[in-house]
Amino acid sequence: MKILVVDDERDVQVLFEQRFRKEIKNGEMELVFAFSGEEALEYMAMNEHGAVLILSDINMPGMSGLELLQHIKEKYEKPPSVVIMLTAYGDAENYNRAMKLGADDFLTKPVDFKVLTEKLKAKIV
Amino acid sequence: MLSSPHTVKFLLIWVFLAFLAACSGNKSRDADPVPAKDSLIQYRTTLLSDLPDSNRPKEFFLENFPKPVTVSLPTRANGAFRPPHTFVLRDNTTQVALPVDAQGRGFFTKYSTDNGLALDAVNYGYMDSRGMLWFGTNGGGVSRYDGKNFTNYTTANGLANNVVLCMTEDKKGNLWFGTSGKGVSKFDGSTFSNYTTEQGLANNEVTAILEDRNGMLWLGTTGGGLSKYNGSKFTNYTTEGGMANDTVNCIVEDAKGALWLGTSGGGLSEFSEGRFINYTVAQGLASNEVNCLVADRSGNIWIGTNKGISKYDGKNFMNYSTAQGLVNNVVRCIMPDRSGNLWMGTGDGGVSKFDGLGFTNYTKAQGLSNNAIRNIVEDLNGNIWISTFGGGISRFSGEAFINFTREQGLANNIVFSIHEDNKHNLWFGTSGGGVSKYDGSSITNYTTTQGLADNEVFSILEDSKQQMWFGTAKGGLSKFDGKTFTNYTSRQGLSNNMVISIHEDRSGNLWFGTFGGGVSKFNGKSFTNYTNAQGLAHNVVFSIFEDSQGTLWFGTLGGGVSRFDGNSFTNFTTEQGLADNQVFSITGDNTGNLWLGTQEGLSFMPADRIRSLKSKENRNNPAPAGLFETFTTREGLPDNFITQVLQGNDHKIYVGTNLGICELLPPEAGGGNGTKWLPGKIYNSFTGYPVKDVNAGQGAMFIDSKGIIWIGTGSDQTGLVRFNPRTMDTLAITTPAVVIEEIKINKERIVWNDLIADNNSKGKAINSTPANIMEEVSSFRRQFNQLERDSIRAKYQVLSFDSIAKWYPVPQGLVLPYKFNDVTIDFNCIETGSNFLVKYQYMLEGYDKDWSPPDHKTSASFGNINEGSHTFMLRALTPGGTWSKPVTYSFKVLPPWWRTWWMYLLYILGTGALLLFFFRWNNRRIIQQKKILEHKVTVATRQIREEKEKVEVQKLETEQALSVLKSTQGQLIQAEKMASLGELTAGVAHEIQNPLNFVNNFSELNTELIEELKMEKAKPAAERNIQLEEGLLNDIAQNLEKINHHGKRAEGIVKGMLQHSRSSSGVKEPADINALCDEYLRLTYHGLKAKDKSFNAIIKTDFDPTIGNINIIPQDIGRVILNLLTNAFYVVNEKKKLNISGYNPTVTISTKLLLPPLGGGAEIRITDNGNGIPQTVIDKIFQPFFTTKPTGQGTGLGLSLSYDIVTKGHGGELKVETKEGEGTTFIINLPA
Repeated sequence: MKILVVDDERDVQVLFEQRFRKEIKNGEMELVFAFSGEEALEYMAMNEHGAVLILSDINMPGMSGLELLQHIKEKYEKPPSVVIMLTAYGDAENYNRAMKLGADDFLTKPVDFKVLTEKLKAKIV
Repeated sequence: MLSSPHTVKFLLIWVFLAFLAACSGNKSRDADPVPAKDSLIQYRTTLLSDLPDSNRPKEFFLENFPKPVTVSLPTRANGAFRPPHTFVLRDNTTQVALPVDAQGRGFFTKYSTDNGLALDAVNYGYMDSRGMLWFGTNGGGVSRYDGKNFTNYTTANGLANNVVLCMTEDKKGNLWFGTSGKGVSKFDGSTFSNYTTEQGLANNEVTAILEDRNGMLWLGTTGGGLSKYNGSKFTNYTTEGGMANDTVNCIVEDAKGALWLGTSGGGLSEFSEGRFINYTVAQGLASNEVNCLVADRSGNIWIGTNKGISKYDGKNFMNYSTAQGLVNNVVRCIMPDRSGNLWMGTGDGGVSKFDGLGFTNYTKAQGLSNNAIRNIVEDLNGNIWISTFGGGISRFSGEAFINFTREQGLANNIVFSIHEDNKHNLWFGTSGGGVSKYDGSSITNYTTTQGLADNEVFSILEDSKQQMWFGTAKGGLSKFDGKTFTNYTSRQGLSNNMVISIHEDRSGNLWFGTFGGGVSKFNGKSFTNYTNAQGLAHNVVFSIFEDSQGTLWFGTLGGGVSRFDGNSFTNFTTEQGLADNQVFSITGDNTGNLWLGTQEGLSFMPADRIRSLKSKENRNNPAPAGLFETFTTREGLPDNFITQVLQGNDHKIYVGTNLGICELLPPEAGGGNGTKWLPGKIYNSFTGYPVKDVNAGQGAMFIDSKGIIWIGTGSDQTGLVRFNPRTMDTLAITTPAVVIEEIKINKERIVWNDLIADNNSKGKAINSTPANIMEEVSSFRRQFNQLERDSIRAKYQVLSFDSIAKWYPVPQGLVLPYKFNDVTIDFNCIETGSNFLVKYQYMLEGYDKDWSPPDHKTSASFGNINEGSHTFMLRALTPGGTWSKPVTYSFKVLPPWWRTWWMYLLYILGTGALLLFFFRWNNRRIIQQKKILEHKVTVATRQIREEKEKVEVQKLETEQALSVLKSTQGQLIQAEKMASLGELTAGVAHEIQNPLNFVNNFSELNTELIEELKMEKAKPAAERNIQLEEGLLNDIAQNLEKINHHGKRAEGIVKGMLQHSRSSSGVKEPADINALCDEYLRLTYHGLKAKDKSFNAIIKTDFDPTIGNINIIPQDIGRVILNLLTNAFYVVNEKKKLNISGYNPTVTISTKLLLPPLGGGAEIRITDNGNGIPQTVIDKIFQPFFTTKPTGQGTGLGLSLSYDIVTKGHGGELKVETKEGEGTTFIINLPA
């Protein structure tokens, strides 16, 4: 199962790869990284139905996570993925906007990996 | 209290005194009635130098007498003496210090079943569009209150159930009542229609009702979710549709039209565009048990929960609980009042008022009838009606009057004397309880057990050496320096041991007015006593006053008033026109007039006449006519027994009487012809205020340095009254509605609906009760049987009418046969504030020639009314002085048979009286026309008067608003100074969050990796995977580097912030302008970037290296640069959003050395390529509060402050050059 992680912080890649090293090794999980909203859209355009699930930050330079979410929900007839917003901006306003735009779930940073793993499993199964 | 021996003794003395005074006063008047002005007698002057030696004043030196008794305050019990006791005025529940408004007993009035309320357990209160109050009770049905009576509606009237949980009024004026277990009732003013699950309602337990802006009715139920009713059918919503919980406790609609639902256990649901968004404790809500909701004027949603209050501003939840001062965390209701306060009722802790800054709490201790609050509603007059569960309704009428009694720690309920010391402590001398010192937050009591001479304290004064003097009933004088009491009696030369008045003259001598010993002067070393032997009018001296010329005036008991200029006494009595010879109180006003409170009215000596009194020269002059003027009940005072007079800060004279207090308005404010003082408002129990008889003696009424008037009253209930006159001016002035309540014919009450034949068969609405049964129950409290109805019909069948009005069953288009020509009309004014003060005027056209005199009566009877059409006109004058709009009621009386047309025809034919009849008709026509004209003039005059009153009120409001505005302006400028830093911090704080997240995540990860490594190492050598171990070690090392990297990143950000937050020293120092510009450019750019990552702009710098150091206040100029740069970045970013092709947002900052003759200073230019500033606003941009940013984004103070910093702070210039569409340059010129 392929997960697209969108975050402008490059160290997120190291963090996720180490954290899920067992799942990656077992072949349960494949992680793809995009470092901006534009990059994520580019990846999705080139690999249709490439990722089962998108995990996106909200506050990024250029296209924000919410804009990305809107784009995905509006442009794709069948939104290809489950979208989980993952952000340090965990206030009610962002929660409200993300839910109104059709996000499937909302998690705040710092990431509680136990919760994230449970959510990922639930969404995938 | 009353049974204490001291008080009884004292009261006896008082009664005896009053009796003596009354006898002597009456005698003098019987024998010698108050002379007319032309028969006044010349006053008498006694020169001390003319007295024989035996009568000259005697001086008693302290050194020749025994030493006075002194007692130092003990720190612990010591024989008979104990340390004083202090009562700290704090909230019993939260232990927080009480604000002044909540320290005493507030102005609460209780309404219960005794007043006609259906039940004392009240679930809900509501004000309808007519201004009437409705209360839903927990078993007694609904009570309606119109200011005069409670009218109760129960299941007998057709209400679905007597347990009413909520209510609302729809746009058509129908009332909806949600009941417990029986669905919802609609009341249209004449019948109830009931709706239950049978009609599609979600559940019969209806806990909340709301009509939205589209006219849809929303009903929240217990367990059944939410019902929408569109006037014909119900649509239901539950958790299946995404709602948070199926028990909906409350509903509110926000400014955007979204519905907010408070649920039991599921938190909050926002319902808009068919979708529910749920908010719980996970998003910051205080609790998932939501009891009540309110949307305030600023668009915030306030949520009352079982764990305090949450405010949701569209972005975040902010929570308030007992920790912030809320009286109790179970919040059952919230009500925003017209002044912008929020009132919160709690489950069993009373009420909290929140003014945006803090909480003021009201509980039973402040006079609330019960602490279990279910609902709060405000009426048209601004009274707050608090529904309690068990205590009926408590009405709160504002903070003007607060009563203090022993309950708050006051030494005793009867206060005789009040004084304020230089530390602004108030001292209250009581009857039998000693003195109380009140410092604003606690009360300390001093009695004989601390060394006070006696516990009856008649007078208090702080002398210029800041020593307190207490005049007592039988212990003489006590001097108190804060540590020690020193007591003086007749043993030290004091003329008498009952001291009822104290004064310090401008030379520092103390004067003591005594009961029987005349007056004693004390200069610190000796007492000199003056009695009637030296010319004093009487030896009982109630009050002492010193006028602006340093002359002393003594008010005496029976001898009138004595004027003492140091050499001679001149006495004034009724013979010179004084109202009475018992003078309780003397004061002077700001224009030099003298006011004297006597037993028979208030006397007043104008300043010019006081100046004309020259004792020597005038000795043989004829009696001066009109030395005094007098106010009595004839001029509008509530009573003639005047115990106290003082002048307020508003220059009004406040008169304390045996029947409360009364204002006298100075000529410039009193209206009239501008030369006379006129009586104004009266405050006593008859006008609805908690003030009874005001005590006599010096200083039982006192104005403190804050303008608050303190009044000692002779009643245990009212005790000491704190009266704040300023709050009286803010009371709402409304124009109330007047209604015709009932029409009686021949003095009999009629069930009009019983006269409509087909009433019973009208089954218009669902489950509705016939209107006649409804009216029978309302008027006669029971249903009639058919026999009774038939007899009513038989009796009144000849009356005809078109219809019956709703809300009050009054027949419209009534036509009465001649033998029913006796009509009684009952009416009322919907005024729930002080209805009993409303006056009515009415006129029946064709019956009365003029309006009736204004009266409190609410019924008018007209007997033997002539045939013809009649119109009854009614209007009401409110206590606030406004006239209501007149209401009219028209009916027709048929002629008797001998005056019917056919009889007239007979007369005409028979007697040829045609001519006579014509004259009569013509005459009537002329009179009629004249009346119409007169009426038009009356209406026009009234309109002019109303307009004038409105303009005056508006002027007052504008002045008040201006002063509030000025103080707010100061606060705003301070706030703006902090805001520029705050704006940056928000962005920067989030920026710190990211590296911290990494530090947390990587260190957690390392813990795991190390664990794995340990396990690998613990394996037998053969099984160990060296490669894996190496890999793990490498990962750990890499992660440590990451932790270090992100830690440094956070540290860098914090350092940057600290640099900016250094506060301004206000001192000029040489500073490198280029470095300053560069530093603040970076700060601004990174700050904005942190807040909005999409933000970007090209930055150009051009710094002149020759500029060197300039003397400036670096933080202030930095603030200016920060402000100008923030604006520049804002406008280029706004322009960028317009997507103009080829547009590159650019901000340039440059510096230049200004060469002499330009001054040798520096110039800083900040240029943007935004849209420029329109010419129409260019003149306003430096004005405070001017902003072009959307509401809420800018305070409009940035440029104004920058301007002040550059011009006032540095003597420089701040200029602007702009071209519309191309950009703006701000130029700062700083002198060297």
